[in-house]
Amino acid sequence: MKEQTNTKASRWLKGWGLCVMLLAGLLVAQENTNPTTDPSPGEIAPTDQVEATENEAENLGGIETNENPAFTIDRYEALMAGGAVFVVSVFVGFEVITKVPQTLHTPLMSGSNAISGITIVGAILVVDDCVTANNKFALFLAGLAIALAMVNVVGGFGVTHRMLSMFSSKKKKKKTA
Amino acid sequence: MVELNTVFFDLLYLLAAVLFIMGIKKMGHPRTAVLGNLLGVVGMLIAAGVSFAIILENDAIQNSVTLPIGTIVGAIFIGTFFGTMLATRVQMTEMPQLVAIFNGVGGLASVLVAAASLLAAEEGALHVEVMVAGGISGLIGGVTFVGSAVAAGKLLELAFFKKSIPLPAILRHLLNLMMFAGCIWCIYAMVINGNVTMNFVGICILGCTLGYTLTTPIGGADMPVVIALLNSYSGLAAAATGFVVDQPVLIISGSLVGASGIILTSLMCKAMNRSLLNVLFGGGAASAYEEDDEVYATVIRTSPEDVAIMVDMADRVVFVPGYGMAVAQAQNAVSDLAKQIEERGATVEYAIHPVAGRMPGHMNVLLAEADVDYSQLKALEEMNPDFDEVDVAIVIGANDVVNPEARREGTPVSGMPILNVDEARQVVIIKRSLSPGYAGIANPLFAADNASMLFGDGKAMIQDISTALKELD
Repeated sequence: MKEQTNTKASRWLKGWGLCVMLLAGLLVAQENTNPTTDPSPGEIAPTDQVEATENEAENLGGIETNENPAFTIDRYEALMAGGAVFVVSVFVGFEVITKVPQTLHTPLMSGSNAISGITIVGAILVVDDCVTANNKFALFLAGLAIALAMVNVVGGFGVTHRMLSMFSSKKKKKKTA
Repeated sequence: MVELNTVFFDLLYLLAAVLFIMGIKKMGHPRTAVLGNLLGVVGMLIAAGVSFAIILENDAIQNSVTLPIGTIVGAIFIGTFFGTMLATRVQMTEMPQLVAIFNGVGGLASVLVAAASLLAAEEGALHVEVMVAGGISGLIGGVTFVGSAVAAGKLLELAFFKKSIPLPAILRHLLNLMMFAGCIWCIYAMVINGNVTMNFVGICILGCTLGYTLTTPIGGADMPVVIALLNSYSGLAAAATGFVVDQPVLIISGSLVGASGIILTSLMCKAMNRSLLNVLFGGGAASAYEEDDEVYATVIRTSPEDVAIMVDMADRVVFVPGYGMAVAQAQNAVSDLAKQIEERGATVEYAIHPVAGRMPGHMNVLLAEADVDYSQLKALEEMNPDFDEVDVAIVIGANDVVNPEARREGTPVSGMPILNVDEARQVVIIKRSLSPGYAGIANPLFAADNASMLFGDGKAMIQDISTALKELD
């Protein structure tokens, strides 16, 4: 019994240790992404970029891109931080979901699927770009994405709740009986 | 300088991510699962709310409010409507299809976000990493979308999806490999010549085709693996989209879902003693019917009345459900019969194989809906040591998961963990005929000395046993 609580505690620690690492990674990512979301790098060199792509289009498959939009240190760091967040999150996922009882397999699947409806954040945010670029078709796509992500979110959480309450109501019934 | 608002919003996104992690952790334990799901809901509300607030602050949108805000609100309304419809109206028996459809919807949403993001960006102003992430998102999302559609079609038993492409396996693999390479080439070309639209459309088409060709040959009993894997893909697509729109919250949530899907996938593979590659690329199992007659020479037939007497005398009865129970919609009949047996003083349990049915946990959901107590559902490792103390084991609609051939070398099911039903004192197998299961091999259990066959429709037979049991008094 004592051993069991021990391992539980250590697993708990390990899990949250990873979460803390993840948060740290995120903070780094935040710090690094903010400068790039500033308009400066995009606006400084639009003419260069257009020329660059035109050049590339002319001699297809030509030299690899020193002329493309410059791959700045900021962006490199932001990308690596994003990668770190990705890797650590995958491990957090593995760590957090260790032993799932069979009964919860389906609810876990539908519930986690609802969480993958987080694309709704991307879908809403991209509306910004669509309006700025005055691209109606892109706006339509974004709207469609919002609707689909919403189906995913509402449907996924809803059906998970329905399933889980089916499981738990039975337990209560037995206890009261 | 970073604006205070930005920091505030970013922290809220972070909070949402933490809620998802906690939620998904709690979803793994029966007692906290409901709370876990609710944490997910709260996280999603926060994340969506913050996104909406960010959008409202944007200058371009403040200049022309109606169209973009109308689009967002309208889309949210439509999505909520259909989501609620699906969540509340769909029967529990249709759950595998529903989960498949949700996976597909998630995949498609990711593709569309990537598409909108790439299209809306100024031509040439796109960063390399955004293009690459967009391409990957289009590929994984496309595979998820069409793969899930095919899976759902198969589960709905639509004729169109039953046909497999009449190609030899090697050619199929080659074709898949070529399409995958084509996707990579499109991403490369997009980065090099900046022709985003064309190449992205190419990636989507190839990804969708790949989803079709990868999923069509897989079916039947391998479905739980496919669904769990597609669940994982829908998360990975979301994570890739996170790189496109540069939002860590998407990366975190997406990879969490990806990880949970992979865990389920590997659980399912272990339950079949097959590697993921074997399930994905092995194609359907080869069938060998030749020795069936020999194996089934000593099959004993039984009747509902005999089973009723058998059950009446038993102290411990175990039901072993399989996909056949779902097909026959027999779960309520089984639950009723179980209650009757319990009233006569015997204990009743259900032995559930991890891959019984067409999705992970399929049988558990069905039986829970039929009012079966959660504590009566036993997993493979819980039940197996006890089978020699079981008086009557009633197998309904299961085949390969109780096939003792799995303990022998050299059969398609060799090494697969099975329920040791043959160790029970008496076994009744309710089945329409002696036809083989998905693995395509004969099942010696059907002809064992302690086993008898009850031929017929699962639901009807269970109900007949119930009636016969009532008439015993």
